[in-house]
Amino acid sequence: MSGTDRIVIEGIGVVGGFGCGISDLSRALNESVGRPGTLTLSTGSGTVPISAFRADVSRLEEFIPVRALRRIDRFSRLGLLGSHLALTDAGLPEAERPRLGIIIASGYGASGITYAFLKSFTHDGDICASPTYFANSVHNSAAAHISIELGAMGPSLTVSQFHLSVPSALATARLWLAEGRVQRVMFGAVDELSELIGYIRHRTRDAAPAATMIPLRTEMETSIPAEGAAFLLLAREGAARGGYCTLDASTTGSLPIPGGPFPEPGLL
Amino acid sequence: MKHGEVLCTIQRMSVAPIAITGMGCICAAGRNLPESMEAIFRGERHPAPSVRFTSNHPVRYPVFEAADFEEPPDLLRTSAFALHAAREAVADAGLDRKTLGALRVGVCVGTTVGAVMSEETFCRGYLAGDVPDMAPIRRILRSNPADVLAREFGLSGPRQTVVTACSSSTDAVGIAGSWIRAGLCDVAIAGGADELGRITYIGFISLMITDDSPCKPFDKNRKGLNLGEGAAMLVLASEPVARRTGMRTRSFLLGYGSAGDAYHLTAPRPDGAGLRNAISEALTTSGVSSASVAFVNAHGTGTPDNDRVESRVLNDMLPGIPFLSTKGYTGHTLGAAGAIEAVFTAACLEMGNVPANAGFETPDPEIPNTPVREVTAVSGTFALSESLAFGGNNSVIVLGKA
Repeated sequence: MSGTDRIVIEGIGVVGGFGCGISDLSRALNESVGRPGTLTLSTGSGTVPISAFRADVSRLEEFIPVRALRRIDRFSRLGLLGSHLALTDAGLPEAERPRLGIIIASGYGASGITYAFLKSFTHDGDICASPTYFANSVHNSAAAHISIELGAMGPSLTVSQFHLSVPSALATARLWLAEGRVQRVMFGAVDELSELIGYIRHRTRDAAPAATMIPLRTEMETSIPAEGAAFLLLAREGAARGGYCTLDASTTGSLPIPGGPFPEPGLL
Repeated sequence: MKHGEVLCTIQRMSVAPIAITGMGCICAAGRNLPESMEAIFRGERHPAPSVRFTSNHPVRYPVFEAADFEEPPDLLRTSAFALHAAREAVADAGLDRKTLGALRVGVCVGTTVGAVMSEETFCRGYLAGDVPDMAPIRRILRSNPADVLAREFGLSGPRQTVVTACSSSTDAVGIAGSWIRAGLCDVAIAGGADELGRITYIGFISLMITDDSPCKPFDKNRKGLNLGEGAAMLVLASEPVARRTGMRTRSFLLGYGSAGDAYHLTAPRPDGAGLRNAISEALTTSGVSSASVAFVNAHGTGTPDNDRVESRVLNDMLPGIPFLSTKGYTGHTLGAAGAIEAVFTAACLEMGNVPANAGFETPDPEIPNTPVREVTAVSGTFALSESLAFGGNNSVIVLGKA
């Protein structure tokens, strides 16, 4: 892209185990404090509590009436809260919302409601399957709820490819802005730590998560599962109303291993 | 923005055409593109209750399954479909591994099931308090469709798995075209893949939008969709790269547009504003006038809502242009639908014919136009392929005859 096509981050909306909003995130980073909570899993050998960074989405009620949230699952609530925080942070006028593009990146999608849908017909038969759960289980449900809530009628995209989801989706956000498809993109990364994902994570590890994460410590694993949403309101430089910084590159690629064996997944 | 107002903020110029140099497909109509086209033009369709899974639902809804296809045990059926279609497309493009390795090749795949972290046997075991075998989860983790294709062909360019429900693969094709125009890659393998399984089947029944008889897109007596499965892939290249590598250009990807309804999670916006915006952007970027469109391969699921909204938009924006749905031959293949219909559209442009809209018999007074009722010659150069999706996504591509 040319210099005139630089992309500006106009607003940031974040929610996660550190709290809610950019001030909470700044505080957590400055104080180097992380206080994981607990996720209780049912396993074949009884319930197991594991350390986990959980997000509190209660502040969503500042933006959307409780009644309107009744049929919206946790995955989409994370997305809705992150997007509203980013819009508020940027101070974007309401009149600009219909022209927003939306791009969501998610490693695992709406796993909680997908599992709930499955449970809805497991005991009582296929005829009892929940249509509400099924409708919310699509990967683009968060993008859809954001679009409906904001009245955003620009293009909408959801990308899901595990850890590569964010850089891949960000590359498309930059492309949309460079092409002039939209003046602004609401970009968000969303993942929930559902019971199902927590259990799968538990099964893929030999040990329960550590009480404290120590990044880059290679001789032992200390990762703690987490959930949250991070949203960036992106704008072309010419249209931006100020902002944090520019986003100058996002690329993905592969180390080609033609016909190579499938690597054993070491995800989650 | 007022209700029903068409979003006209996109002031875009037409974009460079992208060469389509190879196509591949697998679906209920056939194991490859030529076989599928022959079956469709013969008017064949064989929806039937699944032979791959059972349900205790009292009604056995017909589906369109890809017959005689077995996936390897270490891959999701979805990704196996994607590989099958990609191998056909790459061979059709005349590309070998050595040439692919010398180019920057991206891969962009649309899907719904191929990115979902749930597997019924595993979840039932967990729910029952057992310690379920992790093999199904490991299969999911190694089966992300774009990753699988990148690994299989040793591709080093950008890769993306698009999950915008039923518009996923139309979006994947449009995005891959943008990558090439932006110089992010020389060539892209783009398309979509989805398998049909119990969870999807039961989910659509729960929404009460499935037909218990063969689907009837745009017909007065339509009751809903029939689900299907399959994949289609296109090899895309810039014209200079196509020439340099000796690839034959079968047709062109000329334009792409997409827009949201901002209306409902599963129902299309009644005024069709999102679809109108998507068509408008696709035509603008392709530099094609509405009058010069030869035909439209519509989304046409056979649900009352979709067909009503879509036909009204077509009547307003492309009046008199022949349109049809090919879902009567394939079922609704969800994340694969856009790509399957894109390769059908390109093949029809090559042939100069479009098939009949299977299942249509009785005009609906609520629908202002009627789809193509028999095999019909088309003489134009351009065609549209449309996808509408849960979440209010609307995506349209414009294809051109080579």
